Amino acid sequence: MNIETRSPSYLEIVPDKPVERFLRMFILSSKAVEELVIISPIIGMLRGGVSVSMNRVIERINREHIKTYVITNEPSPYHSSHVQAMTALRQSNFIEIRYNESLHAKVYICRTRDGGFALLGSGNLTETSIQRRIEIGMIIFRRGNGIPLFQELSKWGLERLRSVRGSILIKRMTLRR
Amino acid sequence: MDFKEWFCLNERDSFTIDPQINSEDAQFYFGRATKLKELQTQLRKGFIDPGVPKIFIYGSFGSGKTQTLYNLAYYLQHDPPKSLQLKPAIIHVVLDMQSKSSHLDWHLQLMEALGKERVSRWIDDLFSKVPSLDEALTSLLSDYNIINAVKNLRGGGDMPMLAWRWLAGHRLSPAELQRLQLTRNSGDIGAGDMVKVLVGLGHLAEKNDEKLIFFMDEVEQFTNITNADCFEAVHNYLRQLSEQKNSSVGFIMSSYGLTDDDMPRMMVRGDIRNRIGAINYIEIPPLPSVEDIRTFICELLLNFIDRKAAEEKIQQQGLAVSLDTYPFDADAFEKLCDYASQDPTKALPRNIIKSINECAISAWDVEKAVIDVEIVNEIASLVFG
Repeated sequence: MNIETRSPSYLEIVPDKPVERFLRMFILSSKAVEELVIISPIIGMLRGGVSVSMNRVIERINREHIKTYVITNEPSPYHSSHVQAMTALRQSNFIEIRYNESLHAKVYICRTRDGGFALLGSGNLTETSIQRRIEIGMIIFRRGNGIPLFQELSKWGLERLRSVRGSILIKRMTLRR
Repeated sequence: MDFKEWFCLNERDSFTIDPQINSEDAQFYFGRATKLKELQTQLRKGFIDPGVPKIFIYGSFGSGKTQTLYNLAYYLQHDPPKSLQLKPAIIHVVLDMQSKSSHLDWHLQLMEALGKERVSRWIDDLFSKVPSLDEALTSLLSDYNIINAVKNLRGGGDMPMLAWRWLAGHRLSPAELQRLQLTRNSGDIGAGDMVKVLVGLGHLAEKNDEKLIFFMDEVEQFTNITNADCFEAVHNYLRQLSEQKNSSVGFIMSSYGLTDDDMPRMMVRGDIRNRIGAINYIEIPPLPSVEDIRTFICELLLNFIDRKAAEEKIQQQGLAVSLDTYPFDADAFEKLCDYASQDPTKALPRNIIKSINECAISAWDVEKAVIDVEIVNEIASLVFG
């Protein structure tokens, strides 16, 4: 659903599989991605019918040296998909990982040199959320009047959330772009 | 202790600057005193001749174009030049164009940013000041349709909204036009028709002691327009707005662009360049030398650090760091300047600010009171590498 009529839209409500939509936009984006931010209490390997697997996401991060910031809860040993996903994410030199036990927000940001988009919504980055849960999200495009919203969300995710007490650094980025 | 207290930040959460989020950030323009003087000079001159500034700024991504726009607006609001004898009505617009966007879309974006409430206030104020609104509007606006549309902003019921929609370029039905006593839709006779609306509103602003100035960001969006007719219509709109005779609506546009080849095509066309004037095409380049980078960082730290709190912390903890470079120790500060100046194309404010903030987050992660060379090596290589 578009918010505006004649002016190009910078907001879009996504009532159907918003997280999968974000991932598809990230994977299919022809623009060079500069930064990716994943804020989700639970993260899975995204297997079993999800069109974009975690391995594909990591592959693009590694191939294009995308600076990626992941903030999530510390995975419970009983949640094998979360454990596996964090193990896979930790292998990449381009990913910073932080754990925050108070995290409940779900925000995903993809920044390109001259644009980008962000998803603010209810969905975790998991197969269950994408396949079985009723989720909703709003995509904010970094253009027109969407720019201040995108900037504020980026500032929150990239600065405030990373520097609050409780956001514990688990792994740094280690390689040059 | 949180991040802000850890680094004695002066009423701010981080070292980043974004006037779109925090309006007070517009006051900062670090390390570029000469460039700022050049920009302010052109602004000042613009208010003398042709009466409003018409300036085009360009540079690479991250060079600080948005900050420049906001800083110039801040300057006009807080320390206006003598040549600006009216109160500035500053309107920020972030352009958003697509392949078939035309002058209608541009006009709509400008009008929406200007806002119905502001224009209605102008017309109400004028009404309270003059013996005859009709006569005042006739002398200001000259065009029959524009006069009637503006007058209807004071009407009852849905008339003000209909009038506003006409002014903004929406197509009205014949019945709606008749109710407003208008003979045609705005824009029916081209882009110049709509510029007349805008310029007329500029005159209305002047009558209320305000000078209308648009600060348009992301003008590289013009390059999205691929439809030839749309492109020419937008070009025509810009040409009319740039005319010397327009002395009521100023603009400062900012666009990505390093050379004529990657700037929006219409901006480098001779007719536009002649109207705006080559001297008003101003580049915002990367910081040219290591000394400029040092100045940039020092000025940033001077403004963002609570010096009293930092001084106490340095003394209490016996930190081997100068107050001028805190929270960087001397070696780390020089190292950061070195990294930032290695590749001149990357010596951009955005990169420098990002590296300062990331260094601070890294130090905070490991509870270091100061940023040392080890942290700078790790972060700056990621940002500038």
